[in-house]
Amino acid sequence: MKKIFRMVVCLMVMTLLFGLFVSTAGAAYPEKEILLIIQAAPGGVSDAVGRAMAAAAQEFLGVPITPTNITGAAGAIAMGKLKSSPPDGYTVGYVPVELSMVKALGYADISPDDFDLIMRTNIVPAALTVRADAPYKTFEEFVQYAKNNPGAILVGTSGTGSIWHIAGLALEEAIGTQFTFVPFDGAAPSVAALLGKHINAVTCSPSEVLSGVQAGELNILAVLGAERTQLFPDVPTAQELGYDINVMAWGGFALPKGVPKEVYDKIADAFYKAFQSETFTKVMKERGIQMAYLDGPAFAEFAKQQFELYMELIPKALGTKKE
Amino acid sequence: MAEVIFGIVTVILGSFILWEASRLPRGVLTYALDPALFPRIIAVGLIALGILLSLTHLRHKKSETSNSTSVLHMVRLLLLIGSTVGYILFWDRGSFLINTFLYLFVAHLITRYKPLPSALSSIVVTLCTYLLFTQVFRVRLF
Amino acid sequence: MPEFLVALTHILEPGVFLYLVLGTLLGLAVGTLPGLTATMAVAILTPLTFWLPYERGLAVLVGVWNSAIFSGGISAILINIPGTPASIASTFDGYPLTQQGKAGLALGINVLYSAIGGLFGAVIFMLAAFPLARFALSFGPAEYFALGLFGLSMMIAVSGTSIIKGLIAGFVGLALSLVGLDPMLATPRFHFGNPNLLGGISFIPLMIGLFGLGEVFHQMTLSMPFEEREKTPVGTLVGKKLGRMLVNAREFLQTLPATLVGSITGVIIGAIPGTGADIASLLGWEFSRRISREKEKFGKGSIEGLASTCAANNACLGGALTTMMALGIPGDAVTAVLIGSFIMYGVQPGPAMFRDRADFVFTVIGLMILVNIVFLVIGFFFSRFVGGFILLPKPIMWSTIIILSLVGSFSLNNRVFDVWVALLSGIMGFLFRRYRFPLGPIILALILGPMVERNFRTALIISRGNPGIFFVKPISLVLLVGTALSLFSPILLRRKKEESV
Repeated sequence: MKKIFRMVVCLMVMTLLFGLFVSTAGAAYPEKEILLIIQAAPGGVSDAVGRAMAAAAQEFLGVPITPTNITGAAGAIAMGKLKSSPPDGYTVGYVPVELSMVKALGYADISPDDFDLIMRTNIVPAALTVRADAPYKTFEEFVQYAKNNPGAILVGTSGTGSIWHIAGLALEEAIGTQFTFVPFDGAAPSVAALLGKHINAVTCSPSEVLSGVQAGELNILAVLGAERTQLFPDVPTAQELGYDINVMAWGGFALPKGVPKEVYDKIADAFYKAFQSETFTKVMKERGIQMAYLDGPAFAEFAKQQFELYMELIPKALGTKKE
Repeated sequence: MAEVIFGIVTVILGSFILWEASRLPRGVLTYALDPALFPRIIAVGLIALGILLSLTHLRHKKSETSNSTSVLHMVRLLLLIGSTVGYILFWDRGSFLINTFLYLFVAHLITRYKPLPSALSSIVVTLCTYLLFTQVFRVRLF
Repeated sequence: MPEFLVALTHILEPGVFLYLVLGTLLGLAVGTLPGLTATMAVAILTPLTFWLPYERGLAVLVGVWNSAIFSGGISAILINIPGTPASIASTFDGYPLTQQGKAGLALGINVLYSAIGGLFGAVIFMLAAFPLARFALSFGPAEYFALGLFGLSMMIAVSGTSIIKGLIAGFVGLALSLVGLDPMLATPRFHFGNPNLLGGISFIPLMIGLFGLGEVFHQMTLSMPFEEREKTPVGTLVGKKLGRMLVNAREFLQTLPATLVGSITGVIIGAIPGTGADIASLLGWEFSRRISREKEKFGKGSIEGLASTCAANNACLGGALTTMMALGIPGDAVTAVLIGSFIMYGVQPGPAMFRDRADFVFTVIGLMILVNIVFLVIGFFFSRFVGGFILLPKPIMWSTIIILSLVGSFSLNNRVFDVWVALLSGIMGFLFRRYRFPLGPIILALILGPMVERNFRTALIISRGNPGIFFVKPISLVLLVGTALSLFSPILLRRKKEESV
């Protein structure tokens, strides 16, 4: 009996010590593990970029960076958590295009001004894809068809108010016709519906339709971003064809507002080195993610412009604007 | 008797959903039907089923509970739920290991387990959970 | 066939086998513990396996995936808590078997038929990848709607004694599934200003609460003399031993049709994009109930029911992989993550891959076959070992379940909010158990309700408001007729009985 008691006490002390050891904090930055909040589920582009950056940047900071996925409400939950985290440099977040969208969507009161942005890392342009057996083989033919048959083309999107829906709306406006938008639960189901002949077109990222295009079943007509994509270097942009459309998803990293200057500089420096490192570029290349660097201030400016654009566009998309 | 109460609660839930649904904004997509359609169908279903349940059980005095339960059992359960609420409230505060150990120890005492093995098993379970989730599954606990 | 030989040498390499076993063991832990899902495990392991050669990396991922789906059934059978959403239907018959003192048999069926289903899925994948993927694409919104509605009609079958109570439970489930953004117009519904509710109530914490915490709370209130409390094994009625685990020849023959139906359902549901092992396990159970000669036993400890659902959820994996590899479109949540890891290994899933990287394709097929044999052996011993858990003193078992449920709920999204969801649904689960409301319909409604609503409205957009779309499509029509039959057959049967009396 005594023996057991002694064992219990021993174990209790060990538990306590273990607990204390785990929760020690230090003085000079960076002294302890850094938390990286990723706003999307594991497996997607955001997760890939976030994890690659964590793996690369911890080499330069000398402390581990732990990625944590916090999902929900188009990333608003994660960004809300980042916004309210202490600005001590121990919480970093991946911020996607939704940073400039969630306020307009009415999910949360979050804008780029709430953060100290570190850098933009990547962009994903939208693209217009149709089936190979469709009556229109080029973007011009598509435009003609759409103009002659307003409302007839069923355009699949990854959800109402999502960035790919905005891309479709921008296209609609630039052409000057009407589409019937069919929202799906993400881009993949919309591509499946396109392949299964349930809809006529999708506006989403080129990587989502890559295998369908390779198989000769799908035909990518135009890139709806500013530049051509590495995945399909032959596909023209809509701007080249004379239509003023520029919609893209993007991503970067941010800190809560008010991080001390020396801490910010340390992180920005380490993240920039990580951005150029082989660990990071290899993942970007293999996943077909277009790298597009902007430094902190430039990224802040860019995100702000996007924010103002979406405050205009999204209410139109959702029909919530007062008429 | 319990069934009648459940029936009434179901009707209230249904009415609440109906009321909330009536305040939803209507959509813009021409054919997408409005977002309140399914809530309305479900609300009507709940109301109808609630009334049906209450009516069929009005004549029975006894409800279909699984077992008779002593007051002591219920007190025990309420104590456990109470301490669970406390444990979740203190999530992110203090240390996971200490909080969890205390919680488990209390839970064992509530379920009237002997103190010594209680403490021992609490420690084992706490440590196993902690190591499993943080080390193997890379979950960030506090 | 040189690619075939390359793949064979890969699979037979001892290192690959070792990684497959490692993955299988990890999968057992992931599957058995409530809260940890196969999707999460594969996602976490993907970056860690990146530095391995592709055949080893894939061995780990395939191992975790397959064995997590199978081992979710272990906790479903022993303690009535589905380890992953794919094992919900295993609670219908598995737990009653445990209560009848046949826990060993139930565990044995779980291992054996999961392996059979898994092998079936892998073989179909090998033989008919492209036709199956084509067929899967013919599922559009109208078909999804009909499939979901058909699944919802199961509510009556899983209602138990009182159909009214079952339907109430189902409608409560539907009401819970309304919370969050409207699937079509993204209008926030029933979120009461709480951003945590915008994405809907997380399904896994809800399931853990209803089944796990609810069961513990319920057991705590069951009258039992205090002296016996520490000696009595849990499951309230279980004997000291697990009993035999192997099915005998008669039982094997009896479950054969159900197994086949379950496996076919599993493969097809897996292949259809966006539907995964959870739906496969439920529908596999329902389809085999329809053809069974002992319908009335389903839900009360039918070995046919358990066998079919175990086969269905593992067969689903082969189907999901088919769509993913043949079309480059994920068949379910796990394959969505797997696409990422394929791309990391420099392989773009799609028809081109079968031409350019046949060695890769054959390696995956080989691993999918081998893993079933590996988990059949390991799983058998593991089940025996874990079976001992129900012989622990109750207080320890209860507290272990509670803490795993709470931490598991948290670990899913790293949100304390989800822990609250688990506790509240635990209290709800307790009340439901106490007043004999069945839990099956709630789960059905939560899984299928959103699918029905979304696709009903999507189909109407596509048909421009014409409801005829549901009846001109053959698959949709067949499923709708099936639904109608299941709703009205109880009434017709009763009338027939009355006439004959």
